[in-house]
Order: sequence, then structure tokens, then C-alpha cells
Amino acid sequence: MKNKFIYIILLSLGVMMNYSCDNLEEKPVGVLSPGELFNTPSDLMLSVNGGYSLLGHEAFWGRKLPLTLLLRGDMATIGDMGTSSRRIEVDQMSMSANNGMVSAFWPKGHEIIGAVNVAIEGAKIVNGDEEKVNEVVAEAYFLRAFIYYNFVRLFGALPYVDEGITNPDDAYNMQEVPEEVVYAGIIEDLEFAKQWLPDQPSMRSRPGKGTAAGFLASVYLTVGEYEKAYQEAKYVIDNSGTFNYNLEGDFAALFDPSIAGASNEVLFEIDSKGGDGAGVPSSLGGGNAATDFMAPVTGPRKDERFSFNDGWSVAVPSLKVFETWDEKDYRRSVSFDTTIMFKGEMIPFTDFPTADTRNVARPYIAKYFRASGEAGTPAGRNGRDSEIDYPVMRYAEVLLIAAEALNETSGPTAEAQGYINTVRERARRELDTDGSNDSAYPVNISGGLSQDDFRTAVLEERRLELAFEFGRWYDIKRLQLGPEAFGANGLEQQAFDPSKDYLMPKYQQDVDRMPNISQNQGY
Amino acid sequence: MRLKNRLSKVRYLAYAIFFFLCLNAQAQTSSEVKFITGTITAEDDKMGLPGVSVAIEGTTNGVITKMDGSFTIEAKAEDILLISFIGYESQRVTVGSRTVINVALPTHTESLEEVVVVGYGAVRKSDVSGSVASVKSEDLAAYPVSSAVEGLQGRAAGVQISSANGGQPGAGFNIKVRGGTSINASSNPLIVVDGFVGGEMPPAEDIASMEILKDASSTAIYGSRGANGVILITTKNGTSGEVKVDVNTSYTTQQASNKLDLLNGQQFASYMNDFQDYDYQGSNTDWQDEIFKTGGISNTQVSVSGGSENVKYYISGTYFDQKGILESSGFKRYSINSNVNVNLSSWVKAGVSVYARRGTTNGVNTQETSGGSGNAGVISSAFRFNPDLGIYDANGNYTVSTVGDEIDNPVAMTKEYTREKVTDRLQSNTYLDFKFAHWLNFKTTLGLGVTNSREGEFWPTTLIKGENANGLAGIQNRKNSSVLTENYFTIKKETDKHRLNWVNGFSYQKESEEFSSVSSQNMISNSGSFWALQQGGTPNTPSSALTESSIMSFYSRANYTLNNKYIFTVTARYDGASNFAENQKWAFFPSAAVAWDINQEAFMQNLDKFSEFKLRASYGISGNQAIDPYQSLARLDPTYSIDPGQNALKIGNFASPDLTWETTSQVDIGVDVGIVNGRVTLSADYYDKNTEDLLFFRQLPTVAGLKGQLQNVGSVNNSGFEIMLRTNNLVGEFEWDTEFVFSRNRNQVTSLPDSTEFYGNSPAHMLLGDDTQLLVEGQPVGVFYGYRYLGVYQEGDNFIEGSGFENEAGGERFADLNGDGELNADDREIIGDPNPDFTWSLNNSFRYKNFDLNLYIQGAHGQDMVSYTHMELETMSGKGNSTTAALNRWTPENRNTDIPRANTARPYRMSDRFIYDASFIRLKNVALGYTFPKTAIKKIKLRSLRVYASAQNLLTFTDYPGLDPEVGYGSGSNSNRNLGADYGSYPNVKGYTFGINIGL
Repeated sequence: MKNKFIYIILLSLGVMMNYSCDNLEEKPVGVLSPGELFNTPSDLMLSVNGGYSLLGHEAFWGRKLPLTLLLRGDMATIGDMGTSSRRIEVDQMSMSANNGMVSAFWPKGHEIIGAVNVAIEGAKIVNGDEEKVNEVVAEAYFLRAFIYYNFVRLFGALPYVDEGITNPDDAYNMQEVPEEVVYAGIIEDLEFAKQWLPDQPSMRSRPGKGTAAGFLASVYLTVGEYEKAYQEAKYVIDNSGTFNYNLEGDFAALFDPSIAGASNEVLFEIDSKGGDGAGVPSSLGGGNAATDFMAPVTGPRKDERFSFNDGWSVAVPSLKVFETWDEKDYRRSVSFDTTIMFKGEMIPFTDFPTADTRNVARPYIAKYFRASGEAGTPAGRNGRDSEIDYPVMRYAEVLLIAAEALNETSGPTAEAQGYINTVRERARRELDTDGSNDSAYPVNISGGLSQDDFRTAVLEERRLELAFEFGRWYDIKRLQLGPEAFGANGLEQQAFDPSKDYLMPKYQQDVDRMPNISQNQGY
Repeated sequence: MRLKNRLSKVRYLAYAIFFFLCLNAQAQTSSEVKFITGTITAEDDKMGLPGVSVAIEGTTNGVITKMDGSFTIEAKAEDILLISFIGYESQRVTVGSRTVINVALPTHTESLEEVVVVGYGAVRKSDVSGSVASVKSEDLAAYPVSSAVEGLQGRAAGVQISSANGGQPGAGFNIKVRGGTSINASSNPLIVVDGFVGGEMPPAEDIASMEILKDASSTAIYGSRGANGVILITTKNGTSGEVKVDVNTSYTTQQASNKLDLLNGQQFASYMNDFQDYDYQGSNTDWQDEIFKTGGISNTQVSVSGGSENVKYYISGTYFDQKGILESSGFKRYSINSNVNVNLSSWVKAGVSVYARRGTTNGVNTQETSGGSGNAGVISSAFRFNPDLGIYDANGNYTVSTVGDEIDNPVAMTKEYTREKVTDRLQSNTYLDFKFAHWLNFKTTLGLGVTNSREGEFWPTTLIKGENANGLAGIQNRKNSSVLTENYFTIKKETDKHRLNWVNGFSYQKESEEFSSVSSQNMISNSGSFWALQQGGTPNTPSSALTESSIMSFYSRANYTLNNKYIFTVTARYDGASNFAENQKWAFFPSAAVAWDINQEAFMQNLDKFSEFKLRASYGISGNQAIDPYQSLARLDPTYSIDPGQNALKIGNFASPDLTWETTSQVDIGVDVGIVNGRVTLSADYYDKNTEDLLFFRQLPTVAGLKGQLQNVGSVNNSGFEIMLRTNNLVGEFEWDTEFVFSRNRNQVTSLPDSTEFYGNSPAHMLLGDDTQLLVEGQPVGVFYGYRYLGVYQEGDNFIEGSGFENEAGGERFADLNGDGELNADDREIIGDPNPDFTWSLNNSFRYKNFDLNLYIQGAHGQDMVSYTHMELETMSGKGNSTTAALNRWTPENRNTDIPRANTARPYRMSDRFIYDASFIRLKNVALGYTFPKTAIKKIKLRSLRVYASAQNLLTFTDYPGLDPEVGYGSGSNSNRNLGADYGSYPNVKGYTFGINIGL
């Protein structure tokens, strides 16, 4: 009896162990393995979509990067001095190597590059029509170029990741490459994109041929290759019919989130969805996925006009920007918010601090906070989850690039003047398309300007036309205008050190981890 | 400030010495021979016991009691009477000055020699060679506790228990045995309930004993899961004899033990006028009074036990109902626990235990991760919110703060917010035990455990967050299942010279977790709650997941004792786990221990000073595999798509083909000493634990496109010593027992892949960033990093420049640590250590006649705490109410202060200004009980009757200025490194308990 039991037990143990041994392999359910996922071109689109998603994250274009660009320039400065020091450091040219803005958008930007590189690597293994594959990955190349174009201007020499990383050791061992190499990579990616992207993308938060060309123009302008810059801009202008680009009739309409669909002026925008639940912590991508904060950070405190409540008074215009801007310019009234409601009454900007001491007595940036409030579109509390479309490049900028580049190669020709005047003409148009009631200002640019004066005129036009649209710092950097812009006669006074402040510190933790990466001078 | 800290340490030392002095043994007197008379009775029925041996220890003199239990004997004052009788526990009584000695003998609960439960079996206490702490049932249930873990607090040397959220009813607990062995993986010990690995502890009232295995020799039998220590639970079982019914019930009232001194309405209004024109809003609301109410616990257990020679049973039901001191917070638990053991034949035994439990937690929002606009929690809001506003405005709506971030008023949050979590646990374990020969046993067990939990949350539009989303509701379901089979042979051979206990076994365990979560917003009305998500016009992205893991093991332990003196234990386990990488599924965990029972040596017997004297030493390796499954696999994760209806992916993880266990090697050297006939016993251990190949979430260069990855890198060391001292200070009619537990652990990061890792654990709205804490080689885990505060600037001081720093009289002044004449992030250093230098507890039990008195004191010393609460209240930037420190703020008239002037532009800054010494000594429990004499209760047909009154957390001595020094912030998610922080935490409370224990 007992012996029988022992045999039975030993036998069943043996069976059980046999069964279990096979069972230590993991058979995960719902875990997407990169090796098995990519079969068709549309599978690649998943990773490209990931890139777009991360682009709108709070740590990137939702707040951290545009706010950094805004504060770094001479058009806007800190309002509430009690705000976090990482923002104040950006504004006051006193960034520490551990600056908290960089530590948000540097990793996030690389996450985007990582996501689109997955698509670019995937393209090598998918089966399918090469043309279809190229159309999809062209968007990945564009996004990669877009990130690096921002990063190379902010940080200079960079580790340039042009292939998918799957082993962390490869990241540790990366080399830094000089700016020229990064620019060469950007141009190569944009050329590929230009070749394969469609004439008209399905939406303007995705790139088309014209977008790639417009960015090529901008890149060439930045590196001083004016002939090429002009050619790319001209290409966009010449094909504006095919690409469906033209200036928006009413300047204010560009910033009105209640207008469905993007304006035909937009070459590329980052399109936020208002109240889309992206701010809910449990949602995909976490609490700040695609949540834009530019409305509240530029809005005044204790303003009672809008149902979504007040702003946070973080980034406010330099007063001189308002004072020096001709009040006859329609664009000034679109760009500035001069009154708020407090205790049921409208008060002028000179009284803003009485509503809240964290306000300053200046007009506020209107393109986001007021625009969203007046549109009445879903915007979340304080406007932090709005419908705003952030134009990254619009047709007006292409015209101004053409004007500037042409002036550099051929002087202020009539063609060059024409581009500026087209932009000014639209600025004169008010609220309707009836030319008879247009304002007389800004007048057309006068002929007979010297090349230098024309250059200044284009630059001023860019500053005003694109005010608070996050490009001004790049102009200051590109043309090395720091000492002038932040000097005694500049719009904003800061202690600017040309040997250091044109570049921001690279993400210090990466500098620490990667032996071949060096921190920028002065940090 | 430093001097003050030192003084307070001296004070604590003085307290400690005072308590030690209490341990004085009683005085001894003359040595003349005298006649002693007395009666020996049975403790349970108080009847005289005939035939009991009463002898003078160390002599051959002795007598036997008469029919009525009486005796007469000649003895000297210093003699010790040894009273012994079969079936009863022997007693030693010192004669002293007495001439009448009456002794009640307790029945012998375990008629064999005392045994200690170890993994897969039990060994004689004298044969234990490792470090094992035992905690008694009555200590665990000394006061009403939501879980037995709470009752374990302070009871065992080297075991640190901390609540994930102070006194919040139903809050989870973090347990650390000999320090945190990991950084990112769990440091919680393995819990084994009656052999069920990973089982749930039943309520304290159902636990017979708890053993904590601490050294590698004891834990190695649990291999890859033993590195954090192991807690073995033995639940209560029936004994043969009459049916016993026990009813234990108590009621506790609870209240907050203290409040912060905040500005009242008028003071607040005058303070706000420093920032802006501010009109007093007319009210004077003490929000702390509004939210802290009287709470209470009702705790009842009914058990029935008994059995025959062949069938023994124990059935128990418990009911625990706690109403928190914050309105609408609470915890309810119902459980049923039954154990049945059957002798199927002379050589086959079987048993089944079934445990079922429902727990319902109602939560309020505290310890919020961000307290910004609309996000504040109840407690922090009670501190910050305008005291000059009432609960409701003129229209009957809840008021909303008018300064700083717009936050809900605290009363609105307690009344309007709903969070309910219901957890059901069903656990059963069945065994068959075959005794093939008197030396060979085989035991096979099958355990099944399922936990179902559902958590629902609702933010109505009456709260800011709900208003934003137009009503927000969500519900989460989780189901964890575990199946375990253990199969092991036990070989026992005993002769006069040799004793062998050898266990060999095999086990297989499979676990799975199912999870789903849905939520929606834009709700039709506020009546829907989370049971009507279809009433939300905007559903949020749903999520669900399934994870499965399995572990298979072979184990062996041999315990050999030679000549009753030399004890050897060798243990090994070979584990294979699915959640590790392909190349690294299997690992081997060996250990060995030796002990020398010196007291058994002839030269010691002659000395006759010691009742016990044992030296122990052990070394071994154990592991920690506490990570989620699938961590070694490359993965793409879905993310939000800007194009509705489309999918989007980002990099989720890279493959790590070599990911495997953390490995902890531990040396333990211990000594067990007993003197004065076992009335004083001391157990002391020194240990040194090295954890290598940490399961470390390594932050990668972000150019990789991935923030970090779990890798086996880095190491942590924990070393320290533990003392457990038990004394029977007085025996006889007036009994006094003392237990003193002392632990010191030093935790140190010994290596990191990138030598420094910064991280943050602070409320997000304070914008302190993610570098307020750091991991750095040579420092303990969790040290604080920030500026040194030097008080306020005065007119004429040398102002140090730095962006965001003040340069004016009355402004905050910080040290320029690197001396470059500029203040920036480089002027920070380590400013505090949240790990205690040592912890201790002292438990004094007194019995006189039918009265019993218990005093239980706990202390912890040297740990720092950062109070984000005080940072928020005392930065003086006008973003909310302040403590009364604001009355002493710098003004041109009040310069002699270290509280800065009012300045709206001052950011919150991590500095030593808000780091406090959180050392404390706490009178955890005082209990006075009275047991009715048997004779009195016989008439009402009761077996036993005891009534008691007790008080919990009656006194706390601390310099910590917050509500409670025993709170944590952020410790629920990352308990190893998020240490020593306080923000809006639910405080521990003062409680008064009345209870009654009835035996039928």
C-alpha cells in the first residue's frame, strides 16, 4: 500500500516537472514586438504617427520648446517672477547646465527621433511597393529633419542618430558630429521628403512636398546658402497652386481655433485637439500627451472674460515691442491683448497688477490665450487643452525667405520687394475682403533701399508678421544679433554673452553618460 | 538649529536610559532558612492541583502537593522554587521575603520542546542556526489593526514597517527586513501563509505566530524570492477537546493628534496685504477643524475551535470597520478563516484551510502628486485655503480659493469626491501528509489564491477637476490569480549524538494578472458616478492587460546537530523563473550556517550561570525577482494619436537578453544568551548584506530614444545589528516582563552604472524639478539634495547674484557653496538623509492578580524629513495661507528673524530650511485589562472573561513640526527611494479602545 503510494507520487512529480519545464518561456499577450510588427507600409505609419503624437507632448511643442524659444528671444520675457527658475534662466541668459527646459525637450525630441527611426528601419524589412514605402517613410524623414533642425540651432554640434538604436551600448558610444554634418543630414532627409511626399497632404499637421521645400529654404537661409534658399522658396511660390498655398485673407483668422481645417497659408502646423482627454492621466501616452499649455502660460491672471478661467502670466511681451509697433498696424491688435475683465469690469493693461500681483502692467500675448477664449472652442481649464493650431511654417514666411535670400544674392530687386509687399498688403486687409476699407498701414516698401536697409526691413517684417510664433530667437541666433537685441537699445535688456549664449547647454545627464559628447562652452 | 538637534538627541537618550533603568531586577535580601507554605492551582480553572512537584532548584530537596494543591517546604530567601507538573508549564519562583507562595500553573500548549517554524517545516528552537524572529499572536493583535502587518510594527528587530499613507484607513504598508535591498525592484519580504508562498496574511486575530526569517541561511530555501527576508505566518488551529467559542470585540474612537498653527482669517487678510490690496472676506474658518472629525474602529472576531483525536478544526470570522478622521474615508473588512486537519489513517494526514476576505476602502484625495489648479488634496487644501472664506458662498456654492492656484475647499473635497475600492480575496491551501516511516514524511500541497479588486472614482462638477471635464468617472478591475504546488520529503533521524532534519522538495507556481480600466468624462449629471460611464459623452482611451509568470524550483535543506552542541545547516534552491531573459532563466542559491551551543559544553554546565549560550554564523545567497513579467523583451508601446481613429507607437523597451535576478549575499553573526534561569534572554545579530546586479531602472542616454531600461547593474549594501532583550523582571504574584528591541541599519549605495542618478519626489505644482533627491555611490538611498539656507538678508549684506535668487533685505539667503560669487544649481549639496540611525521599541507587561497592564513604546532616531507642506506654507510668497511663522516674517520693523519677507516672486526651493529631524518616541499603546476570576464567571457559564481599555499613540515626543513624523509621500509607488517626505499626508491618529474578550 505505502509503496504504491510512493510510486504514484514520484510518477506524478515527474509528469508535473516535465510539464512545467516547457513553461518558463514567456508567451506575452498584447506586447508588440518590433521584430514581428512590420509587414506592410501601413504598419510603418504606426511609428510615424508615434512621432506626431510625441511632437505635441507638453515636454515638446505643447509647452517646453515654444516657451523656451519665446522667452529666449527679445520679444517676450518673464511676467510672474515667482515662476520656476528654469524659465527665468532661459529668459535671463543664465541657463545652468541642468536647466529644466532642456531636460524636458531634449529627451522628448530624441524620443521622437527614436520613434521615426523605428519606421525608417522598418522600411528596410517590409514587403511592399517601394513607392508606397517611400511615401510613408518620407514623413519619418521629415520629422527627423524637423527635430534636428531645431536642435542644431539650439545646441550646435550633436550626436546625430540616423539609424534605429536597439542596443543601449550604441547610444553610450555615440560620437558628436559638427553642425555642418547635422545640417547635411537634415538637408538629405528633407530632399528625400521633398521627393516622396504628396503635393497636398491629407492635413496640414502632416508635411507635403511644399513643406519639405519650405523647410529646405529655411535651412539654407540659416546656413547662408542664399541661392539655394531662394530656389527652394521660389519652388514653393511657383507651385503654390499645386500645393494649394496662399495667404489667409484675414490675419486674425490664422489664430482662430474655431475655424475648422487649417488655413491654406499653413505649410506645417502642430494641431492640438481641445478637450480630447489627452490630459487624463490614464490616457495613452500619459497625462501630458498632446496637451498644449501656451494659452495659459501667456494669459493674464484673474482675467474673467473666458469660461476656461485665467492664465498664469509666465511669458509676457517686452513692453518696448508694443510701444515701438505702429498702432495703425492691424497685426498689432491681433498680437496683443490690452484689456482684461476683473471683478466684472474691463481694466486696461496698466491696471493688470491690481487684479493679481503676478501680472505685469503690459499688454499680453493674444495669439493663443485670447484667440482661444474668444473662439469658445473646447480648451480645458485655463485653456490648457485647446483647439489651437500652432503654425510652424506659413506661406508668409516663405515669401519673406524668398525676399531675404534674393536680396542677399541680387540686391533689393522688384521681385524681392514684391514678396514683402504681398505680406504687407494682407496686413492692411481688415476683417473682410473688401479692399476699399483696408487700412493704409503698413505701406508698401519704398523702392531705392540699399541692400542693408532692405535686409533690415525684411527682418523687421519677419519679427512683426511672425510675432510670438517662436521663430524670433532663431533669427537672432542666425544673424548673430544678440548684443544688439539685448543691449541698451534692444527690445529687452539682458546680459548677453556672445561667446556662450547663442547655444543652450546640451542635456547634462546625456553629456555625463556619453563619453564622446562635450558640453557647450560656458556651461 | 544644529545645537537644538543635538539637544533633542540628548533628550531622547535620557528617555532611553530611563526606560533601561526600569529593567532593574528586584532587590535580594537575607539568607535564613524559613518555612514556606502555599497552594498550586491550575491557571485555567483555579482549582488546586495535587501531585505537583515543588523543588528547590539545584538541590534534591522537594515536596509533592496535597489533594487541595497545598504544600509546605523549607527554603532560603535566595532559593528558587521549581514547580513542575505533567501537562503544565513549569515555573521558577524566587522565594525572596515571602512566606506564602501561591502559584497558578498555565497548561502546556506544546507538549514537545519548543519548535520554531522555518521554511518547509519546523525545527527545535535549540537547533536553529539562523536568524529568526518570532512575534506572538497577542502582540500582533494588541490593539485594533487593519492588517497584521500594522501590528508587526516595532515588534521584531530589523523589521521596519511604514504606512504608504500615514493613518489613512486601509492604506498599504511597506515592510523592510534589514533595510532596502533594492532600488527599483520591491524590497518587501516574501509572505508565506501556512506554506502558501505569496499568500495573504489573515487578520492578526487569526494568526498563531509570525516568524521573520532574516539571514541568508534561513531565507535561502526561498531562493530567488528570499533576499528581502521572509515572513512565515502560522494561522490558528483547533486542538482536541471541548468546543471553544471565543468572542473578541472592541471599539475605538480616534481623533487627530495635533494641528498646525495657521493664520486665522484676520491675520491672513493682513498678511495678504503685503502682496496686494486684499479685502478681508469676513469669515474665520479653521479648515483643520472642519475636516478632522472623530473617527472610530469597531473590531470583532468570533472563533470556534475544537476537535477530536482525529479531526481538529478552527473557524473564525472577523469584522473590522474603521471610519477615518477625515469624513468619507474609511475601511471595512470582513473575513472568514477556517482550518481543518484530519488524520485519515495512522500514517496519512490531510488538511484544508480556506480564507475569504472582503475589504472596502473609501478614500479621500491626500498626498496628491500635484496640488496645482484644481488638484489639491483635502489635507493640503485645509492648510492652504483662505481661512477668511466660509464653506459656502452667498449662492450656496462651495467657495474656491482666491489666492494662488485655484483649489477646491477642503470640505467640498471630503463631501463631493468618491473613491471606493473593493477587494475580495479567496485563498485555499490543501495538503496531504504521508508518514512512510517514522523517519520519512512526504507532504504535498495545492494552493489557490485569487484577488479581485475594483476601484471606482468620480469627480462631479462641484469640484474644479470635475468641472473641467464636466464630470469625470472611471473604474478599474484587476484580478490576480496564483496556483502553487509544493512537494517535499522530510527525513528525520535522531539519536543521542546525532539529529538530522533533511528536507528535499520541488515546487511550481503560476501567477497571472488581468487588468482593465475605463473612464469617461462629460457626464450627463452628477448622480451617475462610476456606475454609469455610458452617461459620459466623451469616453477616454480604455486599457486592459494580461500578464503571466511562472516559477519552478528544487530545494533542499539539511539541519544536522552533533552532540546537542554543534549545529550545521546547509540549504540550496535552484529556481527557474519565466520573467527573466532567455539566457538567464535559472539560478542557484546556496547557504550554510553553523551554530555552537556553548552551554551544552561541560565547562559551562559547571559554571551554571547561563540557561542558554549559543553562537551562530551564516552565509548565503538569495535573490530578488520582484519585477513585472516581459521586462526583458523589446517592445513598442501605443501612444496617443493626433489623428483620431489611427494608432500610434513609440519605443517601449529594448531587448535585454541577459536580465536576471538581483543577488544578495549576506553574512550574519549572532549570539543567543540566557541568564538568571532564562529570565533574561538576549539575542543579538550583526549582519552585512550586499545586493549586486540590482534590477536597476537605468536612465539611458536619451539619444537612444528611450529614457531608461531595467538592467542588472549597481549594488547596495545594508549592514547593521539587532538586539532583542527579554526579561522577566518580576515573577510571582506581581509579574513584570520587558521586551526591548533595537535595530540599526546602515544603507549605502555601493555602485551605480553612471555614479549619480537624480530623481524627484515632490508635488509637481511646486516646480521643484526632478533633481531634489539623488542616488550616489557612498550615500544611502534617498538622500535629499538642495541649497543651504542661511536665513534672511539684511540691509548692507553682500547680496549674491543668481537668476531667480533674491538680492534685497528680507530675501532668502543661500550659501554660495562653490564660492564662485554666483548662485545657481551648482551650489547644491546633500542636505539630509531620510534613513534612521536606529529604531527601538520597549514593551512592558505587568500582571497583578487579575489585572494586566501593557506599555508599548516605539522610537526612531536620526532620520530627516522634508516637509513640502511647510515649504508651501512658509515660503511667504502669498500663494495661500501660512503657518503663524508669517507673523514673524521679516519686515523693516522686524529684522531679527529667519523668516523671509513677503515676496510674491519667490519660488519654492529645495533647501535645508524645510528639512527637519523627524526622530520620535511614541507611546504606541497602553492597555489595562482585568480578567474575571473563574469562580465568578462559572455561574454565568463562561470559560473566560477579560475586559480592557487601551489608548494608541497617546504621546509622541518629536521636534518634527508636521502633524506626524511617521508619514510618507510618494512611497506607495517607489518605496525604496521615495523616503522621508511629507505633503498633505494622512496623519496617524490618537485612539481610545474599550474591548472585551469572552470565552464560552
